[in-house]
Amino acid sequence: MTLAPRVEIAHLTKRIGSKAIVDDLSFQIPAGEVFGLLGPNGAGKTTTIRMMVGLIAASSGTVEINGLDVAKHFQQAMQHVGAIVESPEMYGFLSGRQNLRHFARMCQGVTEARIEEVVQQVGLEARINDRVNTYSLGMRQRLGLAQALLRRPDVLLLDEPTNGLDPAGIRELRDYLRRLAQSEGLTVVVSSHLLSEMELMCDRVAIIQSGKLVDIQTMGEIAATADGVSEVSLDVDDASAANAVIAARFEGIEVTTRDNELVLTLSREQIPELVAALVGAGAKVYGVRALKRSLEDQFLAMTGGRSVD
Amino acid sequence: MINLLINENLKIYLRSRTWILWALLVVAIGLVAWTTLSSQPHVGAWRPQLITNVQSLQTALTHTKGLPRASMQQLREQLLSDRYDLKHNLDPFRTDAWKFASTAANLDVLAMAFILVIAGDIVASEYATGTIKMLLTQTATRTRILVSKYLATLLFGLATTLVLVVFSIAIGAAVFGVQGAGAPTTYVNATGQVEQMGVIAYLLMTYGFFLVEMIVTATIAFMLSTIFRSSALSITVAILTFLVGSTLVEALSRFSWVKYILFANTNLTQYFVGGPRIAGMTLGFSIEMMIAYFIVMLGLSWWIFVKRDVSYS
Ligand SMILES: Nc1ncnc2c1ncn2[C@@H]1O[C@H](COP(=O)(O)OP(=O)(O)OP(=O)(O)O)[C@@H](O)[C@H]1O
Ligand SMILES: [Mg+2]
Repeated sequence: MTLAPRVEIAHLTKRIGSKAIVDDLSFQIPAGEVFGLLGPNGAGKTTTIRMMVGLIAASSGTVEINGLDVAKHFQQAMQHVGAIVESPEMYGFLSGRQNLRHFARMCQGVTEARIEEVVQQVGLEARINDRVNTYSLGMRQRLGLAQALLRRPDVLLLDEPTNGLDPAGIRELRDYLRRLAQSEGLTVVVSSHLLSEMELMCDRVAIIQSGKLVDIQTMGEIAATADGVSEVSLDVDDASAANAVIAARFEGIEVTTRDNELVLTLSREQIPELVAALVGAGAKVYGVRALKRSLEDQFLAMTGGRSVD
Repeated sequence: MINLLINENLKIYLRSRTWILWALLVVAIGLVAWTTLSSQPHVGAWRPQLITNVQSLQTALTHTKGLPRASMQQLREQLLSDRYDLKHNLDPFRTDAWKFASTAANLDVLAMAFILVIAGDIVASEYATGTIKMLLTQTATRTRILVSKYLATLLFGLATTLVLVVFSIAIGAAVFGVQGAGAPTTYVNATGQVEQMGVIAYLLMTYGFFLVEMIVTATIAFMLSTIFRSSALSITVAILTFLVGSTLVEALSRFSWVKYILFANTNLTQYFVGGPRIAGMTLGFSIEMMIAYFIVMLGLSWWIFVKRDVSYS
């Protein structure tokens, strides 16, 4: 399919003074994808999202939603966007429902029934008539999400959406976003520095550092490493005996030994070979595990392990 | 647009603060009623009371030195109208609902302060609470949002003025009763002549000019609210400017350039009662000055609100 991308960012740049806090960012996101913006603190994730919703004017470059330039056709473009920028602040002296009605009045075609629907979707029925002042952080986050979903957006922009959610809430949000993306073709952009979060939630992740795009990774690719080599952990009864077998079979291989666990790097084909050799030599093998290099390791490797810069 | 206006109004009237301010205004009217009632001379004793007043005014005018020009003028006007009342056998202490309402109109300063609280808060509070991000990421343009906030501010100003008028008349009626259309009000006109005007007409004139002043002053607070993004700062600066502004104009009234200060022009009553505060000013000039300031202030608010990046609040 050659569908136009839902979100198209081209050479997006924000300079404050002489410093570029977002620097020549370009990427495209198709319908139905959950796209992550990943980067250490101060990388420019929030700034990027703010530019995507017109809160900040870009110094140069464009953001298009469904082909509509946000800077030029704000109203039409934003009709397709729901967003939470940083924390979801609402009017504390109004109830959750009054807040939703307030935002519903600001755009076209949001009915009372739709409000009811999103309240149920985010699981806030029990407290929706209470004043937001009395809400916990996680409840505010849910209300923020309800607000973002009100006008049935094509694109959902969420800055650190798991902030303040409990583990069950995080899981719920993750499943919910994935479901929306799959069943309704919703495009979701989430930012986070919680790497494990991104791994579970996203189809693709853009890694950003110091305002620059370092890389875009597809999550499927991450599990399989480049040349089919992976780290393997072996659980054996006698580490030294096993070590001897390995040394004899695979010359010059590096093995890390920890109690009765051996860790070594092998190609996929070598794994059954090794197991057969060990069993043949009378060693007891209790377990073989392929150790995936996590996104976290890759991320740290790519960004040089630095955090705030 | 109408929806945005509904939103802004709801955000004003669903807050308890608004109702507390109005309640305070009503309490203040009650206090004025109580003071007026307790300072009323016994029936029939008004002539001796008025004669005493005239005498003490005369002494004050001849023996006090160094009073500001405006205060002297006020005393002189009071003296003129007291003498007029004596001569025409009019009891100036006789109060009814209408008469009381024109006394309570002095509370317009308080009403203005309350209006400035809302005007100075209406944009800034969105920044302070962070809700500005939610507000600006819906589909409404910034211009429309700002216009709806401005209109809501003016509507609140109008509503507060109505609270003052309606409760003055109501409390006046309850305490002093209503006597037809009320006795005429004696005042000194712009050319120094003592005149009378029907009390209802006088009330309408007072509040009509107050509304003009309110619009201009609320616009100052509104502008400060968009510039400072801090409610406390913009409310404080707006109220201070309002209070100090007219005092400053009085104090500097011998300089002719003072007429270019906004506050020399906001009170149009001066062209009908008492005469202009600065020689050579005309009604037309004041209206032009107000319009000029008005355009500059609204233009500046708009430009800042529409152009500014909404980053860390
Ligand atoms: N108004 C501003 N003036 C100057 N610098 C700014 C301004 N706003 C943001 N920055 C800088 O821009 C950089 C990017 O900030 P941004 O908030 O986009 O980072 P982030 O990726 O969202 O970080 P975090 O993970 O901490 O939320 C930071 O170095 C920040 O200091
Ligand atoms: Mg951020």
